[in-house]
Amino acid sequence: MTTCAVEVRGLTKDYGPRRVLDMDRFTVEAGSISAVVGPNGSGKTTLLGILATLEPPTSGEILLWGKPVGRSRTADRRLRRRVVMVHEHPWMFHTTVLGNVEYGLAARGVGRRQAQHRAAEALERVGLAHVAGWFAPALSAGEARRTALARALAIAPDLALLDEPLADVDAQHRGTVERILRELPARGTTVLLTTHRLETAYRLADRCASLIGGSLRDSLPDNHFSGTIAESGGEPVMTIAPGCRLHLATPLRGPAHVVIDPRTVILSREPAHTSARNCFTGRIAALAAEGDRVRVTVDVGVPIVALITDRSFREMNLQLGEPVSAVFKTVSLEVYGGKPS
Amino acid sequence: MRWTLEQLAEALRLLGSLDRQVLSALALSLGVATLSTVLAMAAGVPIGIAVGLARFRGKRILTTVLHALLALPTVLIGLVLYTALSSRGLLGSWRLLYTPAAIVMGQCILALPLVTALVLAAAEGVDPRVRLTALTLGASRWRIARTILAEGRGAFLAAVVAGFGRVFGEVGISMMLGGNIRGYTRTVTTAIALETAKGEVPLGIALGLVLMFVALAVNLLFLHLRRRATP
Repeated sequence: MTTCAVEVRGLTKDYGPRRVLDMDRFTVEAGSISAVVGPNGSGKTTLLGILATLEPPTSGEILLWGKPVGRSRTADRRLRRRVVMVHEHPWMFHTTVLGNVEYGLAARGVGRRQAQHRAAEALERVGLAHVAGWFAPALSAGEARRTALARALAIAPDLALLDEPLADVDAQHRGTVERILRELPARGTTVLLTTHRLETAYRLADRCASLIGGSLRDSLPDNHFSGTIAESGGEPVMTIAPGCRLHLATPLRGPAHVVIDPRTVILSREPAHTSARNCFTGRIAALAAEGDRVRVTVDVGVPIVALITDRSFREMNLQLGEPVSAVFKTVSLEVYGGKPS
Repeated sequence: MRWTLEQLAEALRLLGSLDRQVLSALALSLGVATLSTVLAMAAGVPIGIAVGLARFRGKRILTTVLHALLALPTVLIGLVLYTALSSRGLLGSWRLLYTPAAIVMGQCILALPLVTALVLAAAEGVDPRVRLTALTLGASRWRIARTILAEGRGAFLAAVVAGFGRVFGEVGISMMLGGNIRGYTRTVTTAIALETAKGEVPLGIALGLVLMFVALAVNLLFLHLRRRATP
């Protein structure tokens, strides 16, 4: 039986009237690397902060290694000592780089010389041994992030919560950081990282979940498209594949993510003449039964997934490779990111 | 105008021949002001940090009360402590009235709201990531407070300077609780008040200049420390 380093049940978090997190169940297996993928503002950082016991949830239960969080102060402190979080924009204490990396060790009562030794080792691992004596706040964003990683890993945590660990890290050191992260499970550290880049998640993680608008999906979202919202004929559109343009209804422009709920995608045998602005024709690339629903993947240049009832599937008599049109309304598109025009 | 200039010239002449009495008044001024600032910091720093970082109902009211206390007149503090410390008062048995200790008590009360308000503002001004980073790295509450002090040291030094400045130049408390006893509780400010009342205006001015120079020197020292603290 595998053990869960993290188990979350019925977690919600409200900031004032705004609900930023709402997840039923979420687990992280001990000794794994898990990734939570989602656009900015989807609640990833809040989730990590709650798991790091830095802030309390509004409701719900969190178990770390099977032990509930929030029952007693002493128990929480003990759990907190096994967990470390690295923020997306880490704070550098106003001291040397080495002093920063020593911090967690000093907090654990590790003697000065040993702390220095272990901190220097951690800096060496992230390739920053040469800046050990520098004033930490003067580091570049990428260096600060690697220092923060060294600072967190110096204490050999059981669970590392890493918020966007690869953002700001230059291409030259990306490989180093990725290698360090991959080695962590072997060193006894479970990793939960967040990223807004799907490829990072795919490359690093054993398991990916996606967080969209504060809700968790156990897999990466179907119909998640990234692109740039531009104007065409006075209307916002996003090109997601050659010749495949999504029509949107949003005041947002620029780089953004669009998610189409597969339940709102309608399939039609003929190119449909409906009020829906988005209609793409392609061939059925995959079929999968999901309870009383069928997941139909239509390849229109990119895969578009439709979730239809078993009954309509049978009535339409859909076959693999057949041409079909996927139709959906602009209002059923969720847009994340982008800037008001 | 001419009279003023004459007094000033005389004052400058007197500065050159400062006697032991002036030096003893200066030493007492510095001593009580330093001690009361230290005591006010000892209480104000923990309170300010704790309130600054905490989120609780009534925090705004508490802050408002604290700011209102900044306007507390020295004479009022003197009066209240005087009634408490006089022989028939609540703390009369301590026999502290007309001692330097009484001045320190009064000045401490005077500096406390100011120091606390400034430390509170400084603690609120420290980046929230400082606390979160310290916390996630396993720091105890004590270490977190120390880290916050270290990260916001410039602003905290400013609180020390303001507290010291407030008590060093005050006269009401020193006069009412110290009693302006020569060689014992006479501070520079009470000496100025006395000499001026006696018509010894040049000596008053000379003492005033001394007070200003010392205050300036102390501020320069802290400015230097602050500059070193925030590279």
